[in-house]
Amino acid sequence: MSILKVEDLKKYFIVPQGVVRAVDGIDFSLEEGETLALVGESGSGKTTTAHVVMGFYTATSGSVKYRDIEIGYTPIEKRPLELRKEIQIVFQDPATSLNPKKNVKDIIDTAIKIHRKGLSSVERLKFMLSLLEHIGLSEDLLFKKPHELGGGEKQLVALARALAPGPRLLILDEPTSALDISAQARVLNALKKIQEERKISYLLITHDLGVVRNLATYVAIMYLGKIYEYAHVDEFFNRPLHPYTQMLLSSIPTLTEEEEKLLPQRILSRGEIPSPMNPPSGCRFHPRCPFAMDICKKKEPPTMIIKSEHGSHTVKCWLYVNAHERNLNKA
Amino acid sequence: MSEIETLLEVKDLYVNYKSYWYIYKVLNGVSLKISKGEKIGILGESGAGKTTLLKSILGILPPQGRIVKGDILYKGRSLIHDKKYLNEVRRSSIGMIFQDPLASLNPVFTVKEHLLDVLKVVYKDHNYKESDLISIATELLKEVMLPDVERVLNSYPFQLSGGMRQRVVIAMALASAKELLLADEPTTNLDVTIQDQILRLIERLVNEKNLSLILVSHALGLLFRMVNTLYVMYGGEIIEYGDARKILKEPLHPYTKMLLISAPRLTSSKIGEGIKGNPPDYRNPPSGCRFHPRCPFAMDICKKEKPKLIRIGPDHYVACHLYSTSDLEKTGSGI
Repeated sequence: MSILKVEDLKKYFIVPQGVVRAVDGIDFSLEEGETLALVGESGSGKTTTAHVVMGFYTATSGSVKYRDIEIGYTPIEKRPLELRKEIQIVFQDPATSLNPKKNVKDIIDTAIKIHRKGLSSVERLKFMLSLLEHIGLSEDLLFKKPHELGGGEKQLVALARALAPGPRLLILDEPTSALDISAQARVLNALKKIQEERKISYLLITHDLGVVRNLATYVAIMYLGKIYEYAHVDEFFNRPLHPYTQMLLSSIPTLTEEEEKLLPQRILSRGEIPSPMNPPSGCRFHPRCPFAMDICKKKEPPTMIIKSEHGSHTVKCWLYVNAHERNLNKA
Repeated sequence: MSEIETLLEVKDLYVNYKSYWYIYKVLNGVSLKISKGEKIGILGESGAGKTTLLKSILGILPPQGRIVKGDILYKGRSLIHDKKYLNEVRRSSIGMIFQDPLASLNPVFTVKEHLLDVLKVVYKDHNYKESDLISIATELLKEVMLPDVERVLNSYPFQLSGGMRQRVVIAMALASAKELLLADEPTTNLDVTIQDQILRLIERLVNEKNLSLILVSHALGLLFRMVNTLYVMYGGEIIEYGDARKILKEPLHPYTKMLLISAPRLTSSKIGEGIKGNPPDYRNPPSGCRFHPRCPFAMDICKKEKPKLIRIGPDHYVACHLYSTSDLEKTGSGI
């Protein structure tokens, strides 16, 4: 049983100028102890998806199932404590997501008080210390306030707060994009270690493909509210199929020749992501796609399943439709 | 090698910031040199003093900031002591691309007003009419590959996307950058695909106009792609500099080494441990080498004496006691 299963999820926002189709029919599932990375540019609907799972927004249509329980239409304040405890989130910028007037102990303690009732203050402190040690934070930080901490430490405190209730699904909303390289390495290592030991599932939201390589099991590429490619991380980097994915990959500035080789033949990035209020017809990527054909402007491409060593690799692109049909005819 | 004209030289620069109670000793003896047509990069974590260095060059430090020692020479003349010359240089030679395009554009003015403000100063002596300036502005916007220039000219910053705003900021910098372009993390807030477009734009403009470039960033891949010479900054000091490719292949300073293995790679799912500890507290910076509290190889001398930049190979200098004179005498590769 998947820990999280999302089917045909849609989330529209109604604004004075019209309807913003932030998420427009996406499907994915996440297994226990695995990491799914939602990757895309800003405006592609990654964060909206995460917020629907968290219950900050309710879905417009479709379903979001947590262990077979429908949660997409229950806002967070109506969710039972048991469920809230199981799904936790780490926000993008630790400088704004930690209360500047509280010290580290109080920040983490609040989460423990709510979700682990009946512990005495000594027990809570003991629990907190073991948690900090686990994450790799020194206990000297307990009585410091967020502004006294470095960026990496702040994000680790936010992580400790999210882990305190004992979640099974952790949503990581751009967990390292506000951090320097060395702090980023610390946070990524802590995340990896925690997943290995506790078998927590991660829903990782990011636009940094270096982070994806290091943390993800599966990758879903989002563009304007739809998922255009979905694959296992090894398969994804070895055989990116969708032109948008190839554009994303070839835009990364690389450090070494080995990395350079890994990238697809350079597809120069052009254009910008259009507004989700008035998305292009047919395939939403067609105005920026170097291979756009007539059909791309008219009809939305079907989702094609391409066989690979690592389970299913799906891609939504007309380029692969003919190839697929050829395969079908052969078989 | 023929004589290369040195364009800008920063000499042993010390900059302090004063707050109500404390003095933050940020830049601690920074020197760098850039010749005509050269592209240099400055790498460092946030708070390493990269932006302070750029702002000192342009003389736009906030009121709390003060240059206490050192000098900045542009074509051999001091920018610090000669305010008139500084204005002249800012007007006609140097342009700067600031970090956050939303913060560097005024939300209540249109793009046209922004550009005209810059152009009025740049072409002060030319007696241009406003219509001439507008046509120059249009040219500038075309140069940065903005589509639909007429609409952009009359837009307010909030009506433009992040990538377009950054292009406007680049156009403003180009208006005055006839010789040297300073770019302070020009792509930090942008998506990778847009980042790629902006970088290609800057690359093309710099090459076409034969500008010198100082690019400041903490993104390694970006720097290695764009620059020839790399300066690594830590705690307000330059700790290593030289040929960018060489530093990438054989970093010498422990900080550079640790930083390079911390960067997530696409080729493997292993990353370094990161560097323990925090950047230095500028109110009371560590004695000697400012990196010593975080350095795994710290020796006694590191706490006492600030290491000097020494030459290790052609185009490669490092400030670290691990490579101090005794070693060099042995290998005979000293200066």
